Amino acid sequence: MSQKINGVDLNGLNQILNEISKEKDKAKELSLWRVRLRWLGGFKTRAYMRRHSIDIDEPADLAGIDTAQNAVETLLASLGACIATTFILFATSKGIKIENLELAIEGQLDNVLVFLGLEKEGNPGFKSIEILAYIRTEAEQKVIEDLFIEAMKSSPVFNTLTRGAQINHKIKIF
Amino acid sequence: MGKVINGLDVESLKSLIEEAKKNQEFVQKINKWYARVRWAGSGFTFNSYVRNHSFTISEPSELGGPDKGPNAVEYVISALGACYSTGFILNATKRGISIKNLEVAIEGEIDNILVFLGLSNEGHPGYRKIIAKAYVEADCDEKLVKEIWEETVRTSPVGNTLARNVEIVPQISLIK
Repeated sequence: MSQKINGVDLNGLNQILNEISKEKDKAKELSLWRVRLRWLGGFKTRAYMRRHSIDIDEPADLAGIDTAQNAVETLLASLGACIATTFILFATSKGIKIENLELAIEGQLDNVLVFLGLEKEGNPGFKSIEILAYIRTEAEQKVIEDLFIEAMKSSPVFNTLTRGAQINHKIKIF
Repeated sequence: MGKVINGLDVESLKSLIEEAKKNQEFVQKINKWYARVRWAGSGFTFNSYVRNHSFTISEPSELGGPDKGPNAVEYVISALGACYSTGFILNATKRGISIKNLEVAIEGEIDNILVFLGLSNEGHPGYRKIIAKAYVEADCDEKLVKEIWEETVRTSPVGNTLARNVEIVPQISLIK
């Protein structure tokens, strides 16, 4: 049995990283992500990806039936999870043991009234997002702070949100 | 209970919009959103808690994870697709248009995944390009459906978040 840090098999991880860095096809495959969503009535949708599915709905005060978190909450959670994933990945690669990790994410929309069709000023997206990270470890404060910032800057979702992606859209009517 | 279109009570939807017009407190409340993410303590599995809901975020085995759920970048494009669906149904229902079926397919392309893995410094590890395709079945004018879709894309919270630059501020608290 090889060495495990943070529940991750270090040899296995290095092998995966080695393969991805050598095989262009593998990196390309891991660069493309797909989901399909089906509307289930009201504001409820189900997203399907690979062998998983998740539900997204709206809370009752936004006319949903609150069977699941909504789209903007899903987005905040994905940002937190992405930074947490990158942090565990980098800590493990450096042999740093993490005992506990929790992130609280708070997002402020610029102007939700644009989404409701009541105003045209500003934008209905998130203007700013705050992340509070609670980390339990024996490692030094400075090491962990630097590692967290490095992880954040290498996180796919963080980069998507801070840079802006090009979104193309099409519609087919039946 | 009044008239129901697309599974939504039209009257209560209208009163919700009226409420947003005059109730500042309500608007402030729906302008702010929260999520909590906890590491499951071993490998690449995380649980997120949002109000009374929870869900699991993991990584596929190709990325060294146990694949206990979708990964973070899949959640992002799911959020985008759900936001478009929600907005489309909202904007159709407001106009009294009945939608028979709606499906959204999303594909996102990462600029350079190797940056995430710490294997390269070129480019960035975020989505560079996202393609969203909507399939709509409705008994109304095609032009009108297109108009509703355009409005939806323009006013989508997640769409606008992804297309613009958001300020993200971290704060780290170390527990010994």
